[in-house]
Amino acid sequence: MRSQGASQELVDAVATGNLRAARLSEKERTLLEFVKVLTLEPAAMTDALVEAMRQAGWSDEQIWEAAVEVSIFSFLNRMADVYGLDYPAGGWLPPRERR
Amino acid sequence: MRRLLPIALVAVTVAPALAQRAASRATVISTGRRVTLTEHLRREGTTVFLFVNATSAMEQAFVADLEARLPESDRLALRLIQVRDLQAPVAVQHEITATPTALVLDRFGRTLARTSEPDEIVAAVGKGLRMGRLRWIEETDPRAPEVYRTSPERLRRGLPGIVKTMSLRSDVMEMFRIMSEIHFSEGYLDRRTHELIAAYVSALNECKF
Repeated sequence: MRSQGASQELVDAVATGNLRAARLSEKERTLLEFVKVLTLEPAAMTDALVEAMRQAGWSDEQIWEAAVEVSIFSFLNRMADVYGLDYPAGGWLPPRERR
Repeated sequence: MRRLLPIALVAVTVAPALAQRAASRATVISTGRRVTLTEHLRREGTTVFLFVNATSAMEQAFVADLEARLPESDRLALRLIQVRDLQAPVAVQHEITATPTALVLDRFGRTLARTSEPDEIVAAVGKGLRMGRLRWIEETDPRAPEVYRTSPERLRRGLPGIVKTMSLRSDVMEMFRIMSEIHFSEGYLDRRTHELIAAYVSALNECKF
């Protein structure tokens, strides 16, 4: 995210799941709500949630690609977890673990 | 006596300070008695078993220096084995021929290093902390150049763990390459949005990756 010009505050907020504090547009907040449901309880996805995405300005192609991205990272997270991988060298660290 | 006293005073005041600093992370598991190292492994982690002469201030300093150099991780443990001399049962048991000597054991109880060099201890710890629960193709494996399709230089520097989790099947590795391409390119969504989604998914999954 940093490489894409995001501030450290935004990266921390998103990476710790603390969105309330983050400076995000309404459109992005709707996207992340959709991402949350698809990640944590995929079977709870509804027409209403997808419609909310459309209302926020996301096209079907973009919603589809968001679902692809969620699936890729859910897959990678599970592979990392089964191997018990730690934080990657040089990658993001929670604020309390920075030195 | 007069000339020796200040030195002795320094020794008694400095030595406990060093010991105290060492005690903050290191635990003593033997003061000479035989001990089975695998019973003292850090679960899911890496363990440094350090054989030291308990009466040597220099070796106490070695412990303190080593502690300062080791990464802070709850997956790393430093266990001290204090011996008076190399005839101590625990030293004979583990064929220790000099102090300080470190045995670095990985999560499976395999020896990663047996050395007195701090650099080698730190390197072995790094290797242990990057080790996965399951088998994968190591960078040093003869099959690695073909599996990872990368340069010997890159293999020597070490690959990210996530890449190695894909190494047991070439088609899974190929799938990973395609997934990476999708993530790192613009599609219907821009790169920033891809990163936003990826970081949030990892946070929701409480995944450190």
